[in-house]
Amino acid sequence: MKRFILMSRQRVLLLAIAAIALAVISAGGCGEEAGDVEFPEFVYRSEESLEGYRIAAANQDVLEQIPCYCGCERDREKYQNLKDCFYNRETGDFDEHAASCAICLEEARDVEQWQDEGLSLKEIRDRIDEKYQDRGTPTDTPPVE
Amino acid sequence: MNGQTEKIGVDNGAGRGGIDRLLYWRRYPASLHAAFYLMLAVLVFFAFYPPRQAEGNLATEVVWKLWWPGLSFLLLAAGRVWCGVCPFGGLSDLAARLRRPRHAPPGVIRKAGPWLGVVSVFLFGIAFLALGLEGNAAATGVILVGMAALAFGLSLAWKGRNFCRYLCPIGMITRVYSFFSWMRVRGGGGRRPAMACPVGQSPASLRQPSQCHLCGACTKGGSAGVRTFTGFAGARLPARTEFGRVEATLSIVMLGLMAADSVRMTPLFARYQRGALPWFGFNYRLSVIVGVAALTALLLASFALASRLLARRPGGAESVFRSLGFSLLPLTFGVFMALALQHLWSGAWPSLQTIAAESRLLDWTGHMPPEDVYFVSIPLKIIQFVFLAVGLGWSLRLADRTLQPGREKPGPVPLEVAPHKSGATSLKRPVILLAAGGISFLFLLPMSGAC
Repeated sequence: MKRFILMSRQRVLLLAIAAIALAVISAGGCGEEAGDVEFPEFVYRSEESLEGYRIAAANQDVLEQIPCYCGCERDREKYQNLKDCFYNRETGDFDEHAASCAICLEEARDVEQWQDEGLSLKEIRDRIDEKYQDRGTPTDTPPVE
Repeated sequence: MNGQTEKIGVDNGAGRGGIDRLLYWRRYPASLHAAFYLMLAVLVFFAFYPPRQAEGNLATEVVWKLWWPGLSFLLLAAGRVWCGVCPFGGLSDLAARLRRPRHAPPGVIRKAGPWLGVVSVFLFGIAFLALGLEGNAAATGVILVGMAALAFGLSLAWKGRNFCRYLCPIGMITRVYSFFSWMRVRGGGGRRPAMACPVGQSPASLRQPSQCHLCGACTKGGSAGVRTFTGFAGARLPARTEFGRVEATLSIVMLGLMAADSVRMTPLFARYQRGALPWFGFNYRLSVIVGVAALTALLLASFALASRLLARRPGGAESVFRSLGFSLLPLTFGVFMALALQHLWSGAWPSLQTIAAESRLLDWTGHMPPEDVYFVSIPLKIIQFVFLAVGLGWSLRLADRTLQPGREKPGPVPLEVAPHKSGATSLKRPVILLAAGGISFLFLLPMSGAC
């Protein structure tokens, strides 16, 4: 009987630890549904990627006026702003570039966060320029008036 | 893990050669701990500090893209030497010196201890995959701080390196895989009593060498401390091994976690997430957790069922399960090495660039991500399949030699390993081959370095 009680205690301890840890890990992982947008498979590669493309799909007009600092400006015909990292300029389809680019995804998250904080487009652009200026050469994106 | 300390390989001679010189150095491991405390503090600082120049975060690059894959190669070369110099073990020792607690942990923790280790490895694997730790600096920082706090706190409360002994997932992994290390440990022998071991071993006889953390406590003051010697265990298999249910379960859990990590690096993962996310309310992490847990549970259930089918008399299934888990160990170590190589191959150079950029040693001007992150490198695949083939061969050899179904003994007796293959082909072979086939299929696919 004593052995049985000890076994039960051990099991309770292990199960409690596992349950609490799994709850903590899964907390905050709740993403938003991206409306009617159907993303291609590569978007689902990581949580950050899915979140980034969801933001891009919902804020295309804003991202179009934000420069990208990841280094994509080397291909000037293809990449002229942050939106181009998520959408192909020529075809309008989703572009795979941002799915594996930490800077593009981080910029998209910052844009959404600062929008939620009520910043104007110009303020967002200024903050992006300030935060990312040391992390790469920006795309040739016209300034926000 | 190896019950009988058979002489395998070459003795370093009088306990003062090779790594013994380090173990018997009077400033070991304190001086190395000091360096690693500093490194830990720097990594924690950068984990909560956004990158200034580079694309990635310094902490995640160092911890997950260099140290973690590098650890498997260190394990192969020098066994649990990391446990000796690990800053978390150092913090345990520091706490013990500050308070000197007299009591051991309560019985419930001691009895659940080995299973706590398995749960900890499982949760560590889940956290790694679900949180995407390679790219998640904040979570990396929280884990580093949490582990440091647990290591320090548990040794303040109770006697010994309790975190290392019961909870540390890295310690649990290095413990089972130290069997394959080129550097091996044995008891010091002699009549002079060894100093108290912080993980409760007897350094003079050291019945379970894989439990030794190489912390150097028993080597101080001229006592009969442990000694090291070199040579792969594959040269001669141990005659007996104390490989219980816990270790067998861990072996299969590791296979599940590594299969999940392999899937994550292939295009199959994105396909799974696309299909599964609507079922989990678009909770990305929950979807990963359920997927990994289901895969691991499926493997455990399959091995349990196979053990029941292979056992020739009632009560023998546990013995077959232990034997299967033990036989599987080399294969899982092969997968461990192959995955580490995949990470290093694709991630080491960008990580070094990131570190150089963050240290202002490199003028970072950005980068262009590869056109397709999933790649096939023939030299890499060849080396990976060599690891898998060696692991499989060794696993099949063990399957043939460990206790055959029909001769199994119940209870916690050591597994017996026959010196030669015993007659008929082992029925455990198809189980091992099936597991190897599944893993090989994943390694045939194009893989990314990480997500």
